[in-house]
Amino acid sequence: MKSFGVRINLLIIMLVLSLIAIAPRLNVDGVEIKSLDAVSKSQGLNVGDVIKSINDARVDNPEKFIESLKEASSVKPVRINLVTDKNNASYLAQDDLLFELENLTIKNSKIENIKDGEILKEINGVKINYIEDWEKIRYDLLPSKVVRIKTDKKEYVFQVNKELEINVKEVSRSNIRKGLDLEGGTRILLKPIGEIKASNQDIKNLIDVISDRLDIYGLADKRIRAADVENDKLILIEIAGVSKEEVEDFIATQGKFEAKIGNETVFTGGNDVPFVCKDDGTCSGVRRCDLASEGQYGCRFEFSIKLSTDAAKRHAEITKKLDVVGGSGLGSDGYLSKPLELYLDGELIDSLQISSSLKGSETTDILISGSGFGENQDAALNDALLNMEKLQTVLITGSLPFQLEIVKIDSISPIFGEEFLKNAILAGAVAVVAVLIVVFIRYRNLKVIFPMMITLLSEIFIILGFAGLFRWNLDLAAIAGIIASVGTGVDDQIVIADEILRGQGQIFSWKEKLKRAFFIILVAYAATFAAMLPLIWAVAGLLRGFAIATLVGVTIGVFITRPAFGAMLEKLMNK
Amino acid sequence: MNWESFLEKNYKKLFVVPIIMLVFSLVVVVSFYAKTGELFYRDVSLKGGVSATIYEKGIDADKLEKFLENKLATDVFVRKLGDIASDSDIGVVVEIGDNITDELKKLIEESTGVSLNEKNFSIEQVSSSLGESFYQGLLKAVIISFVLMGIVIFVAFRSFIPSTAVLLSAFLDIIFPLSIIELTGIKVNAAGIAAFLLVIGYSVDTDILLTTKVLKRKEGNLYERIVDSAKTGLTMTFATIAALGIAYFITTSFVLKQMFLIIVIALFVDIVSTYFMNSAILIWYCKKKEKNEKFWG
Repeated sequence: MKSFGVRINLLIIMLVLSLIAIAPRLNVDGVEIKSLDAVSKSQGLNVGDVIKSINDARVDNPEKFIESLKEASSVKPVRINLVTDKNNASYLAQDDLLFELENLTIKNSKIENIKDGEILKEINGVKINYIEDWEKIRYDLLPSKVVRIKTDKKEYVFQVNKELEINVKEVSRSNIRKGLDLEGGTRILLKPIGEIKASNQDIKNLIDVISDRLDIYGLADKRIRAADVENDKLILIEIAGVSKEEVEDFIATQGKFEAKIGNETVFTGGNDVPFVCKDDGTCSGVRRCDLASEGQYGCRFEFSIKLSTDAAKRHAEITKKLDVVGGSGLGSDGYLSKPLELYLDGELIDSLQISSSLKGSETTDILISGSGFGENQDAALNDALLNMEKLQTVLITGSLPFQLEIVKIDSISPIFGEEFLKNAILAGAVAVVAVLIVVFIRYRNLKVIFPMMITLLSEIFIILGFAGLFRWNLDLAAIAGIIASVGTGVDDQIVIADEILRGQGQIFSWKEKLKRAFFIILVAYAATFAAMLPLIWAVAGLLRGFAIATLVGVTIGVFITRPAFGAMLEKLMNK
Repeated sequence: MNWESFLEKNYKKLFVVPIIMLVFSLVVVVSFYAKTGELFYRDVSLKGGVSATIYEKGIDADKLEKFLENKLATDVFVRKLGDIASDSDIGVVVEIGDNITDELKKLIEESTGVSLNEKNFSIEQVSSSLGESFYQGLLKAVIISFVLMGIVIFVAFRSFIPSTAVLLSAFLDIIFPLSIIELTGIKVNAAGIAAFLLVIGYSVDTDILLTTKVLKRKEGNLYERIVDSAKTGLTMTFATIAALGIAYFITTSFVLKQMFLIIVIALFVDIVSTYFMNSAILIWYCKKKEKNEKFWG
């Protein structure tokens, strides 16, 4: 077989390598988890897992998933018939029985005409005479469904009594990652404000802490890096598929936690707290929800932590000095004269009575509590869960050494992204056709058009190969960069075509002609390279995608695709 | 009359066109600077403020603008978002110089009756200090780009007048589109400035081609070489104008639209700056060199 020559072979090798780097996957199934609700999270599902099926129904795209999830996990309310010593009632219930029971006595009743203090006698036709009778049926009263979710890792089977909220996206079909403005999400630029100017090391530490916090928060699909703007050192965070409201407060909170007795600090987060119970129902969770006041519900959460020995010593010393109050000798030992007060960012979030038995003891086990409020029970529960998670996160990571000011926040809708991407691809395709038409008008020779088309498409493909290899995020700016480098590519190919096609004179050999063309191309390349270089660092690197796409594009153009174009044209013209 | 002899007779007259353009744009830019203290109107990304995009059909942009100006007592700019190609109405963009977001969202909902969520609503918020830093940083980038490009040109051609001619041509390619942008009142964003950097790259392509052919080639006479390079160079320029011009009409992204617009204007200017100005300077330079050679030779 006749060889294509070095230049064309090199192009073919690059195209193959690019294909490997992009690694297109044609038969992917399932959907990737973007975010989870508390129920499915506690079952062990994680962000990034790929869900293959729900109740054996395959889910291949987000629309299908939403449909299947709704079908599998929505439960219809059931009728509860209830008889007490004083009254009876019939009502619909879904995920809440609307009362609590203590010693067969109704508590926290939200049922019309059933009051607290009434004694439960019968429910759904079952007589309740002893606690055991209640315990036997209490979990079967509310409607529930068994959901089977199969992921790429394992199958999860669990009961739900309300619709699950799991957000998913399509599984990526190649190594090319879409940037924020194509995928949707939130971008935040933070400026640390402290008494001293943040050093590079400070920025690095901040990034570590924020990154940990986002991980704990379940926001795994994120990018975070340092960004310099003029003389300021900033931090850039991009989180895909999350709205502005979800991250705004959380990220900028310094998260300065302090547990105080009186004016003395017992412990803060981070090093003082080697263990924080999280995502484990036995030592962390929402324990109680009540109607706090008219139209206002409140839920209390608790979770346990362990203190370091230093912090425990401090606790002992401080409590030693306190008096015991309220001890009545009737089973209650009373409390210390001052409570343990928990502050988050200077705000009192909870005040805990300290049992007198803890006076002067080096206790390491502490139960932290707090609350959340809302206009209905669900809202209050969510608020409490959110507050708990925030507090746990702060205790695990410690507080940030700087206050953070949000200097830029962009939130991009995922719909935009999809539209922009389709539109940009269309624009690019039409641009390539337009170029070919202009070139055809000039040369009226398909022998020029063909290699030019191959070269242009190869250039785009190899740039995408680089994007896949280095896991760049292809954003709008990068697409502009690709179009721009294709633009200069066309320029160079026209120079080459002109040198080769100038048949008349025939003074120079092919080689000589190409050499002459390449002087022009190399100088133009150097000039473009020099012009784009400063953009890598400008605007906190937000236009880096554009600069790099252009630079990579012109570089592979000059050294790989355009020499191959010369070789192809040479072969075609020599025939 | 063929092009070569036309050029030989008229190159001095042709030279007047770029000079007029240069003077015109300098006057516009200087007076704009005197009036506003700025090089161009900056958008939210370079000045600070909020830019919100509502992705919903059938919103009355004028009504929304009046409503918001009334309620917020500040300048509000609302424009329609859509692409000419399909003549579709995609949504509207709201721009405000102040940093008000939560209130803005509520007011937009109130005025349009559209409920905004993460799917149909995008928002960009920049503090004014950051916008200013971005702006300063980008201006520096443009200057550094220009200087680096200049060094490349001087190293490549190693003679003062032809190299300066290339830089002068690139300067016209930047300053003339800038004056057009100022006159039309377009607000420039960060990507728009990046487009000016690209202009530097594109602009010098044709100049390098021209200068190489004139100075380093021996076939044909001076005018033939210029016309020859123009044939190649104009094909290059028109191919790029065709590509980006069409892309301008198709794209729905304001970021890309502005970039393409700036580059297309600059490419048209580049035809004048390369073949009327740069070639005239080269003709004059070659003639002078020839005279010197005759004198000394």
